[in-house]
Amino acid sequence: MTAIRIFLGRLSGLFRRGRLERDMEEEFDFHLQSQAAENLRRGMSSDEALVAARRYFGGVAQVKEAYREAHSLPFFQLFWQDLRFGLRMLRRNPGSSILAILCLTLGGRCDQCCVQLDRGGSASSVPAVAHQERMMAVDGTYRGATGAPGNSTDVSWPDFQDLQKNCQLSDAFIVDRITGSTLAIGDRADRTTGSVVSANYFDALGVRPILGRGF
Amino acid sequence: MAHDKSDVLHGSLALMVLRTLDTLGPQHGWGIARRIEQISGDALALNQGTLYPSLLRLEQMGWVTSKWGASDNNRRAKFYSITRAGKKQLAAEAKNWERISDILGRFVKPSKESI
Repeated sequence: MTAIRIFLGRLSGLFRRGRLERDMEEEFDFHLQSQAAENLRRGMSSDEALVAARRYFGGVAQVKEAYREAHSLPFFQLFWQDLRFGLRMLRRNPGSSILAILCLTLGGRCDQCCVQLDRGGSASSVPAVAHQERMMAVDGTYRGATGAPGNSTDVSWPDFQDLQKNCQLSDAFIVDRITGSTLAIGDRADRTTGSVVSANYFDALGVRPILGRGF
Repeated sequence: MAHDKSDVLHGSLALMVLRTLDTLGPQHGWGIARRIEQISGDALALNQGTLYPSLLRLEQMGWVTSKWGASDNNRRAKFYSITRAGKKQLAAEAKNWERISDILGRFVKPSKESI
């Protein structure tokens, strides 16, 4: 409750900065003048009285800064400052701004494509795979396995054939073994990640190539 | 000379401010600072300015309220008063300080039984 009260107090401070600043100046000035008057009564000269009042007060600039911090939300203020600075810069250089926005947009689209391709392979929610919500992964195990990562084994090809033939719970079974391979285009070759898959792979996933054929 | 005055212990300033306002009624910042110095017999090294962020925090906590009014010399000044929640906080903090001071007292002046 106290934290909410402090947050709300600071938030309202953001919208009353001008008034709070004037109030602070007036309040601190009253303090310094009152202390200086007291110092005069104690026998100091007028110059000495004000200097001493400032000394008792502590660094006036530092106190003001601490006071401002206590009635504001530094994160919001910095964010607002950065935003205004950014908008000013965009307005000043409209040409480079448009270029920057285009680059960001293209970059965003490329990222999205890569993520979708990758997700297609791992069968999570992507539009490329039909009925991905019905897909499940089957893995092999052995007696005494604890279930910890690395404690599973591949499913053998005969097991796959048995499952395909006898299991009524699933429409289709596919095999996917992720492995490395060399991709060569023309006279250029690159090591890349690939998969050895069963022939029904694309049909079962419902993925149709735009050009050519699957298997 | 500097060693003759004690630093204000962390957290104790709020207690001093609340006690001052509870005893004297509404006061401006300078009045509170003077009172704290007088009660401590000028033995505290209080930078008077540190009082203001502390007053603001107490206000945010709902333990004090402030209102602009006229000072003795007819200048506009901000007056602080303690709220009901502030009085409750003061009672709780005073009790806590008494407990801490009692514990520390046992270390500073250990009785024969505790040695």
